[in-house]
Amino acid sequence: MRLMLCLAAGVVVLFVVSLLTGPAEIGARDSLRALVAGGDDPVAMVMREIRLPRALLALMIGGSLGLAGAAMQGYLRNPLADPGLIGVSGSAALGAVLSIQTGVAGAVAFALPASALAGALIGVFAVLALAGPRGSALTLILAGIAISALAGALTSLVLNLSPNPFAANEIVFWMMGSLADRSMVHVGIALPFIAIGAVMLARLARGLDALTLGEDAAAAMGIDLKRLRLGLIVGTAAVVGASTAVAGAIGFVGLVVPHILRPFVGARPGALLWASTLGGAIMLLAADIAVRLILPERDLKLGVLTALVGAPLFLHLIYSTRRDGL
Amino acid sequence: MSLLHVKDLEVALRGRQVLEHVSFDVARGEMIGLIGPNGAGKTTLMRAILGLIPFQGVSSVAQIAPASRGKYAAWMPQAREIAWPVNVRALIALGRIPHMGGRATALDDAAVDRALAHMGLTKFADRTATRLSGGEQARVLIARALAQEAPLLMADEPVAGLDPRHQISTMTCFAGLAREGVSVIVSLHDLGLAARHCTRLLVVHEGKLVADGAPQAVLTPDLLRDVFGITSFSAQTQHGFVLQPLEAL
Repeated sequence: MRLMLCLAAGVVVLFVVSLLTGPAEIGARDSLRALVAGGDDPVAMVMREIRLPRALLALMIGGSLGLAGAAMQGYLRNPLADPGLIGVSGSAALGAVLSIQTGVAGAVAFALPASALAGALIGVFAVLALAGPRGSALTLILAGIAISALAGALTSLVLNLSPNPFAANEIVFWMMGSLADRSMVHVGIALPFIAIGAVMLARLARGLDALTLGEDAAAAMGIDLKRLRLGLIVGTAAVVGASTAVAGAIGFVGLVVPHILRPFVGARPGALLWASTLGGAIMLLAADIAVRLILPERDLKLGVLTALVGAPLFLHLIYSTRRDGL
Repeated sequence: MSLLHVKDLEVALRGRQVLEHVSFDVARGEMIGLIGPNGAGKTTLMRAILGLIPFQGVSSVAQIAPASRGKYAAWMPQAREIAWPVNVRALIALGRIPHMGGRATALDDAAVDRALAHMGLTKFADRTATRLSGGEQARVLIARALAQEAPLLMADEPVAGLDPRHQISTMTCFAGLAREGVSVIVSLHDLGLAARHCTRLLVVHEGKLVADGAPQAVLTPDLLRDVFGITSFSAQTQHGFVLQPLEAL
């Protein structure tokens, strides 16, 4: 309970700080008043059209990645699992890259996220078809690796054959992941998928708890493993696909956040779901504030920062796993 | 009244017939030992009864809707899996999952306390389950199955790897539950324990149920030779029926 309050307070504080961070020099009170009051003055425009969507997206996407990571680790009973494991991020990125390459993304504002979502959808169907309805956790991992590898290869092919260096440049930058220059349109595209996916994942808590005892014991306690697995795949695909569609690939949040918070919830995978949702939002809000403060003129990419922070944490995780003799 | 009805149960795995025409009924308060050599089909039989694998024939437990089976039968698999470093109390509380709509009630807490006490684990309640020794983990997992408080308890080799004292106390605990009206089915390899603590033995050999009855009636020299390939010494003593395997044939 205390943990929940701490995490929720952290989310609120960072959300407000995110709203107050930006190149436009506006006082804290003025900006918050303009945000609430609205109107046509430039301060209200900056707050409502630039900073609010950015903070909302950091909140939604961070929460999504944290939640999906906790669910994936709980299902696979492996602390090294990542929501990208089932190939959704890779196939969403491929969809986005194709729309940039063909120029559709430049012509219509929502073409890029829509095409990324289509990519995620195709990816998840391919994984479901490959892994089968009854398959084990291992077949799911293998199917995910296969789809990720294929999507990665096709993305490289698009870059390789790209006749237009500007498009190639744009693709590379997009794939680094960022929340800069996103609008309420992006929030509107991602929100329904994230909301539905988050509800699906949150409902897995009981089943993930039961899986602590293994698949056989969980099934004997009345957990429908087929439904659990389907909920996990579709829910993860919805939240991660939508996140990747609007923000590009942002790594390590879903991997590191559940791992850090696990000891605080007594390692119970069900309780870790909500804790990790709040924790993911905190990490991404903080990272998105940091990219605006560290190198404000150079447009430091969010995905680059999360990887720079996340990879050493991941190394620490591997080291401590080895030390515990697991 | 019969608690479990199994009729003409057959299982084929990958085209190979693993179980053939197994039929038996279990009444309330029976302490049943399921014995047989390695690969005889003991685990397969229990999993089929629970509806965890496809089978032909009738199992009254598998006829119950999957979501409510957990209230009727508790299952302790042979693989002693504890995936996360949760504490002992939280792990045992997982046994309450079939009963819980949402949050744990006082009823659930009381069941967990009883299970802890039954297995002598009360002082371990706050320890991390994955850091306990193998035998202690086995007892925690037995307590988890007890916390489910189902009328039928099925355990696959629950005493394997326990020290003699805890093997005996676990069997005594199961026998005590049986006296309270719970029916217990345990698979085990220790024929001495089976002879001493079970009220009834089922012998599975090459996928068939070859004997069913009281330990003394079942564990004859002929059966031990034909099914297990061993000789044994047995006697009716002042401590009851005692059996000691002697030589491999």
